[in-house]
Amino acid sequence: METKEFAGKTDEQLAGLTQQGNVEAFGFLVKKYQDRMQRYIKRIIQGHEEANDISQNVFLKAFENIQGFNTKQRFSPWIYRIAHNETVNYLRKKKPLLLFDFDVFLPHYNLGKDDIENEAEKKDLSQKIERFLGELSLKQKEVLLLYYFQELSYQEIADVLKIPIATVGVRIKRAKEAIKEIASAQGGFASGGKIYANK
Amino acid sequence: MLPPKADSPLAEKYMQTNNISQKVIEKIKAGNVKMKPRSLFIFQAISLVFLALVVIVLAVFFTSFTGFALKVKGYSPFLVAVVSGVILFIMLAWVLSKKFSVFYKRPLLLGLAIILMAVAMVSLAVFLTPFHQTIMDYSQQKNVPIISPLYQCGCGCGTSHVCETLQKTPQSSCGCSNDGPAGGSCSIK
Repeated sequence: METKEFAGKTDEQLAGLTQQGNVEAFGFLVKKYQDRMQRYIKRIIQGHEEANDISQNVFLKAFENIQGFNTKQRFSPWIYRIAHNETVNYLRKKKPLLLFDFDVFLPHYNLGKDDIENEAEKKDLSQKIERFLGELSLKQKEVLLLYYFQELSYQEIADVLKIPIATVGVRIKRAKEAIKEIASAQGGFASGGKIYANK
Repeated sequence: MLPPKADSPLAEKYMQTNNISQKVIEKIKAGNVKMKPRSLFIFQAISLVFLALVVIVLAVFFTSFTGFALKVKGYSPFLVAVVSGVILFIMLAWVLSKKFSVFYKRPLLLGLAIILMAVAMVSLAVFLTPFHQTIMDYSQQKNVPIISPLYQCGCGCGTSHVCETLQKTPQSSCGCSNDGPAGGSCSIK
């Protein structure tokens, strides 16, 4: 089947076709996701060469488990969940990781309007965040990458990381505060009430 | 879109990226990776729900049993073991609950509170019915494995309850003896 035939289809429809045994449809999905998946994994494991192998494993695992995917739900959180598991497994082999955090224990208040940026602010922030990603912990890095770079919603990030929705907001807020501190320590662009007020 | 020129800086990245999709499809077509059948995922999902239900039912059973045993016999050291079992089943239910989005999307403490409330309410409802009385009467007439020693140790036999079957086997598996006016004493072996 020509790739043109898949062009108008949603990820979920392509996954559905894969479930019916259409390998080309899965190939189209891989091509669609491979760049951002590689970028995501490279940013998490800090540009290691293994990023390509991990990306490949993510897609192979996705194919293996595609029958477990519910086509009524969104495909991207599902494949990022596999990517999350693969990267965590890889990092665990390098050094022990403490993934449990008390921020998933207690309820958090919902974030106010001041904490939600518009699209232009989000784009601007994502460019600036990239500079300091390496300084953040895995938990902070993951939420920022999924929110600003992979453009997943709080709800979807909660599904990827299996954490409460309010915790996603709290982690993003704390990660931005951490960046603000790092940036101001380095004489960067942070100033004022908002993180990047001097843009 | 045309691929970048072989000597351009983008060429290496293009080759790497292109290789991933190629390698993935090649491995799939060569049969190195097999799609797991849908039935396996359905079985896993059903097993998880079933396991969670069994754990909740056991937590409810032992919680209501604790109340019933306290009412019939009062405190006994055996109940400490039963309550430990209740705590274990509630913790297990809590761990299992995190597999369901209804729970993991909420703070863990809230999930635990929901499970505790649900177990407490259903246990109270069971406690108010003649459920445990019926099982105890039956288990005293017929020597049912696990159940008869459980009720004998937890609730005792004697003044108001006659353990005819159990009297034939004075030492039950949990270490209860049926001698004495109040149906004997219990000790955990």
